Amino acid sequence: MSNTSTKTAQYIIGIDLGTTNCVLASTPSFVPEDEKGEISLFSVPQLINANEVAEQKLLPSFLYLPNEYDFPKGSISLPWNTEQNQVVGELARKRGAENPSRFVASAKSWLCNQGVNRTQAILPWQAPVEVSKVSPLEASCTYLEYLRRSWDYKESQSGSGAHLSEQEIFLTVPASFDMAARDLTMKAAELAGLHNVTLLEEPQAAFYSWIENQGERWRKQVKVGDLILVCDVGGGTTDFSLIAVSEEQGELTLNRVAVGEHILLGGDNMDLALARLLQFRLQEKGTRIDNWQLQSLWYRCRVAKERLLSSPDLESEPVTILGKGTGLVAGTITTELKRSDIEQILLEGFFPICSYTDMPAKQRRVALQEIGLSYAADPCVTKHLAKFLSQQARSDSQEYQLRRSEDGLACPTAILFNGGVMKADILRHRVIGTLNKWLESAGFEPIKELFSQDLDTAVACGAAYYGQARHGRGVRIRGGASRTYYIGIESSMPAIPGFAAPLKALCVVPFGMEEGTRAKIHSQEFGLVVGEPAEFRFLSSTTRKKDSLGTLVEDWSDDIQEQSPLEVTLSLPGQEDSVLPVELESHMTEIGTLELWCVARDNEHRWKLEFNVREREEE
Amino acid sequence: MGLGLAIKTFFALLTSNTLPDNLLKEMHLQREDLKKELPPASPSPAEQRKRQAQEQARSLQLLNILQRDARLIDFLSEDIKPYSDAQVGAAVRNLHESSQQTLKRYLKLEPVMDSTEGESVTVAEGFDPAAIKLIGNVTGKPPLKGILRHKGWQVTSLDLPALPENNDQQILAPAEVEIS
Repeated sequence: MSNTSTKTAQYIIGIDLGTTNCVLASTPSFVPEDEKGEISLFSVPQLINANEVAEQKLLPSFLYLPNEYDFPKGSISLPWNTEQNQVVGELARKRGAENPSRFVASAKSWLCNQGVNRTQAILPWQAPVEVSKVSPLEASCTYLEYLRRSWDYKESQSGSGAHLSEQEIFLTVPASFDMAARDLTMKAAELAGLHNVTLLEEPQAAFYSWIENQGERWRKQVKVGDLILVCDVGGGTTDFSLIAVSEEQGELTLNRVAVGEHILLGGDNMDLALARLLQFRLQEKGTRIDNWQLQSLWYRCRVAKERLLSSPDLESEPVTILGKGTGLVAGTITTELKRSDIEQILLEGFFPICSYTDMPAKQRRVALQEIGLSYAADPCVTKHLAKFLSQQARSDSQEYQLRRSEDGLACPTAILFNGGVMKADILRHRVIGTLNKWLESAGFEPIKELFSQDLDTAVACGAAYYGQARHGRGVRIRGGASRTYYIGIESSMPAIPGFAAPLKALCVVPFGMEEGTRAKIHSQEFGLVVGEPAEFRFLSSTTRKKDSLGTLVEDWSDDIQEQSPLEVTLSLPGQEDSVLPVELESHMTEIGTLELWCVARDNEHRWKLEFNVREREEE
Repeated sequence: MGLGLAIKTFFALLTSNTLPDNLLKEMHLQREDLKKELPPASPSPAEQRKRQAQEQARSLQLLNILQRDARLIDFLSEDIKPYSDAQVGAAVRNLHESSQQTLKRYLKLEPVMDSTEGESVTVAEGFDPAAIKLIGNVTGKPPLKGILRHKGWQVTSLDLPALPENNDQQILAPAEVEIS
């Protein structure tokens, strides 16, 4: 690696910056030859109550912005920070349930929301004026900074005193994150004081964790031609990826060949659905539930669900909400969660058996849609999976022949689950059962399940393994660009009132463009005015994989989506107002980000295009 | 004699960590004299009050935690007579579960005698009457044989959070006021 600071790094660090939990894993950078190096999880010291700091492997990704009346004075100070004015982690989660107007949750989902300005202080969403809000970028930064400071504190107490900022860090993002969201994640890390950071996609990290657990046996578990589906359903998001196994010079190689779209659907939705069912049932019996009690019901439902899922003999589990005031018994409300409820809501509501032609319902487009998180309109994970696998039918990268059905459905041979939701046997079996039905109709054998160890912490551990692999101590998955990217070019047609000039899409980054490569687009030249900001419309596709560099696409339906625009100001002292012809150059960096550059014909001057993450204006 | 006594005292202390009676006699001392310490510098009244308050706060801390996590005080202070067994039962299941979790989190409980209740056990010589209580027809000297009626409980580790400064822990549960 070119980065000089890696030479001083004592540790390789994997960080899972999750929607609901953050996890940090570490492994020594230098180990004796032929040794792997143990990967260990960092226990994060955090406030779990006022005045009480304890260590937990998961740091809940929640931020609470207290005012002076929230906590007794001095009760939220941390060993490394007594002047604390924000609360992160377990206590933030607990307190946030009582006071949502000062509670920041799902910052990660906001980070990839194009409907808002992601660098503007907008969270908590719709909070009253007196709350000093934070931007999605700042919130993500806060979690990373918290990890840095707690790590540094613990190291100064007992360890070698190694600062996290000096370590080599592998930070995971959803495979479905677009380049602007990846860029923002990188900025958050930078702001948090982490400078030596490489991004990695979460489903890949989950797969690395599986390889790490298997040791050398993994080569026996997969073979050339296999297609592995990584199905990652976490607390807040659902993420799919396909990894193909091929062979090069007698060695097995892995290629990430497809990633899905960003789907805001996860375990929290499922628990809330169960709570709503019980709320409805109680109301039918004449017991009304207020918001506070719903929070408690939500939590009790999760506990009851987990108990029912882990003990198949239980037919039902009581769910009790204790009285709110001092009259605990007097106000107790009791109901029960039945096994049939779980089957009804989780299996039929979220994981129904469906055909691979059943597509998820589309997002409703209401004229005055309230801006907020764009939760998936359809809660059926299996339908999203059907869409993902059939989208791969439309195009194929030339290099890999994916196994397909006659009508083009990508047919995986193996499946790896990740995320807390997929810990439940019945849900994994349902996904496998549904896939097997599709595979059977295509004339293929049933799918094979690859078993992962700990679905909560796999991503962080896998990221640390990826770091080892980059040091030559493990196998690497080839990924490259997860989408095809385009620059929008407005065609020069006579203007017609009321109609926008048709947009053409110039491919600037082909799907799978490898990390560490650059490419110049010669087919199109742009004349930009020096000293004036220029904006480029930016588009992407997760499904068009055949478009090569410089391809100009004139017609497309919904397989290309517009992204946050890019902007650049050519600065060239003394030449203001002159028009300078430039060409575009794209660069997939080693650290997993994408850069686009304007290069002047003289080739000496170049300017980087920056993502404009302000909200997109409606046309 | 001085040197001889000094050497004898030195070795007695080195080998048995105590002074035998004959040496004490030689030194014209009573064993009680050894226990007499210099009177401690008596703490100032302010400090004494502070220490007392701290001890009191410590004793309230676990109650505080059990109310916070399991609402134990609410339950114990409530008049439960008017409610049906089912209603009480439902509340108690909940309370029992969270109290158990809380106890597990902050202290480690182990039985004093780890045998099955109802089976015969032997009480060894030199047992601590505070840890083992003999009941029934207590005659003879240990070792004694008997039936284990209660295993006993002991705390083998306690990990309570540090007490915050200037907090007497007398608020067991804050009053809650919902602002709308």
